[in-house]
Amino acid sequence: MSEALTKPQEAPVNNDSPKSQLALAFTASGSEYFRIWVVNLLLIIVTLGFFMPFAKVRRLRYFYANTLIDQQPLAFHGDPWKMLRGYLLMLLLFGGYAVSGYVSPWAALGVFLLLALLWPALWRSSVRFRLHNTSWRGLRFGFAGDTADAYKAMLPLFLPGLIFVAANTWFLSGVDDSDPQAMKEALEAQLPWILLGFVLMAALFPLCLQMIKRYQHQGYRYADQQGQFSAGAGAFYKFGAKFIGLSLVGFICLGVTAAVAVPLLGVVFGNTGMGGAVLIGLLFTVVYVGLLSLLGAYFTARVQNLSWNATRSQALVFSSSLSVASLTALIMKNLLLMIVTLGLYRPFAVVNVMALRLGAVEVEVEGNIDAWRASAALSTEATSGEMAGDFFGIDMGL
Amino acid sequence: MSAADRVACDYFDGRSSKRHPVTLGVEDGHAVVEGEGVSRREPLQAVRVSERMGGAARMVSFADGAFCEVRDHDALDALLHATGYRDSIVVRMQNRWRVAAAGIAICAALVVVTYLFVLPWAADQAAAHVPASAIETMSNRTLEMLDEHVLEPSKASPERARDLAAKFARLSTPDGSKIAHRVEFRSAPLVGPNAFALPSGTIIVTDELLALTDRDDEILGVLAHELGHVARRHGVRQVLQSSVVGLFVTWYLGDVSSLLTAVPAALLEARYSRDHEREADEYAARMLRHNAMSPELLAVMLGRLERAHGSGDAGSGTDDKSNDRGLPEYLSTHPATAERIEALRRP
Repeated sequence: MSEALTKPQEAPVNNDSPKSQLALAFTASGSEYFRIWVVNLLLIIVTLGFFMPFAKVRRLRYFYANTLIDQQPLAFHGDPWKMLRGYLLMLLLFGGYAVSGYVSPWAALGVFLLLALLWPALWRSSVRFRLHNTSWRGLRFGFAGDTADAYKAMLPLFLPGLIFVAANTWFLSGVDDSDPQAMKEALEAQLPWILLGFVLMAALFPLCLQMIKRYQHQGYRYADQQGQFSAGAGAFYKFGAKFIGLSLVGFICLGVTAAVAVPLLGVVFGNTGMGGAVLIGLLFTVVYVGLLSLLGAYFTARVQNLSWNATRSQALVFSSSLSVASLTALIMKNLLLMIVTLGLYRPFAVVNVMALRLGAVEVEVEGNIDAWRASAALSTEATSGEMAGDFFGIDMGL
Repeated sequence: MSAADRVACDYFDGRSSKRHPVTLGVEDGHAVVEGEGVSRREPLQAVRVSERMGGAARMVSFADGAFCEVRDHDALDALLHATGYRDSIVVRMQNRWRVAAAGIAICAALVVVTYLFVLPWAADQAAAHVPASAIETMSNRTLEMLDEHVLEPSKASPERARDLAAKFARLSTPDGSKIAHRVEFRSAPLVGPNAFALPSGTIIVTDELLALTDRDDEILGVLAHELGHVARRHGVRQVLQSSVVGLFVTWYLGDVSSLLTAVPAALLEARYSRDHEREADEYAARMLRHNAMSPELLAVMLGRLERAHGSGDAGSGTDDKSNDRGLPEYLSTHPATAERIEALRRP
């Protein structure tokens, strides 16, 4: 397996091999996807949710067939019947968690811990399933990340999580919840630990994000190519600090605007009662939603750029230059149209956000892509019984 | 077979990423692929065709992972038609705008029927099975919170309070059943004249409401309305219905912003609340008649309440169109007062 990875076959990369750009294009159209979406929605409702994995396969097939890299589309090969098993497993786990709460808090805690412990393994098998079932030019992608590394990548979030669970159990178990005084004291004793958990979570989040992205991008495989990821935790902490700074500035501006605007509007409109109040409420909502869109767009765009600019393989170099301003504008436009159309604009919104995000990515390749061959390791893996982890066809995300 | 019946496409063998320009045709039940360095002939049963999805390329794939990528949709359709191939029903549905429009209409109809009839009915059924201890705990928590932030101990005369509670306890319910309840009095300068029921049966009357009238019978009318909420389990039903509405709105709008999802959810829930108010009014009218009292007592009180609040806040809507401070009905948790009074006066 490692032999295939370290030894580039047939196309030795040397200094004078030609470099070329592979153009990325997303050709899906809102009106085509709208019809797929409506039919999916109808069939999901009519089958009481049973159609969900089938709908997902249809959606992915459509999106993949319209994602062109160097004019050749991606293809999705996932088996919806396998994915149905994954859906049922998820339903069982989350349903079990919801129901166990009625039985006893201890049962809920047990199921919660089980979910948390299983989560990295489920996540890994989901990423693997998705990539193993994706192909381009007839060759399947692959994922090399192993289960142990999936647990390591998510470890930074387990620590604060453990503090939350432990503090909850330690201070609240055995407290009579019909006695408000005892309840209040227990909650007060618990508070510092909960705060500690939140601080730790904020402090560890950039590290966790970096480890997760590194795990994913280093695991990507195609033919003999294996992902490499060069962004360190420092870059993610810098991003995190900027994000927190932007949020603080944004919310302070919002507060100041509200403090100035409300009395001002009061002066302008006089005592018109409801009319003025509705206007102020509306204005405030628009500004607030604008700020949330900006923060969401900033997070999405910067994480995408940071991650993909740090990603390459032996012969491929990725770059991403997604603009925060255009993503913010698009998100706001989508929100407005979704409100006006009572949500019917949603499929159009999904398509135009994907087009913007994919259009911002560029791929440069060294050498001749025509000569790439399926990795020996990947093809044996895909056909052998090692796919047992994919028995449930778990597919999260998108 | 003539070259005109062949479809130009790209062939990939599934082992290398090399693209081979080829032509695809059908000869005596076999798919035939011909091109430079490629020559394949496979029985049609062993060949799969991907569904048509808009303008995206379609795959004609073979068992070993090799496939043809076809962009000339019309030529492929003609070729497939000749073999007797038919698109699946879902594909045919997806390609028609008329089906999409019908799909939206059916989805919308299902959602509306669920919202208007199925959900209230299901919440009613489920409310009967919520354990009394859970209702008790929930109600006690609510009262504690209210006592801490909104309500103050009552300053009304204890005699009048005791007298009112005793009078109310002597009234019988319309169907003769006993409904566990307890009447409590509180001062509420922030809320003003009001009364409300907790699902456990605790009915809270504010001093400000007592101050509106000297006639105890009118207060009994309000208490009968609140008992209606208790008898019909409105509190628990509202919690159940709101959770489902909230879940649906969040799912439908996506996790865009909690604020954006809260507004439509609140509007949708307000309708349920108005229905509950009407039901409670109806219950009060029947209970009053049953005890040889007039529903007019509640009607008079509603009028007093509206005049006391004046601005249409605290949930009492107004139908006075010239009053721009009144909330339109669809925004309000209560039906318009004039409409409620009229309904109570109907024989």
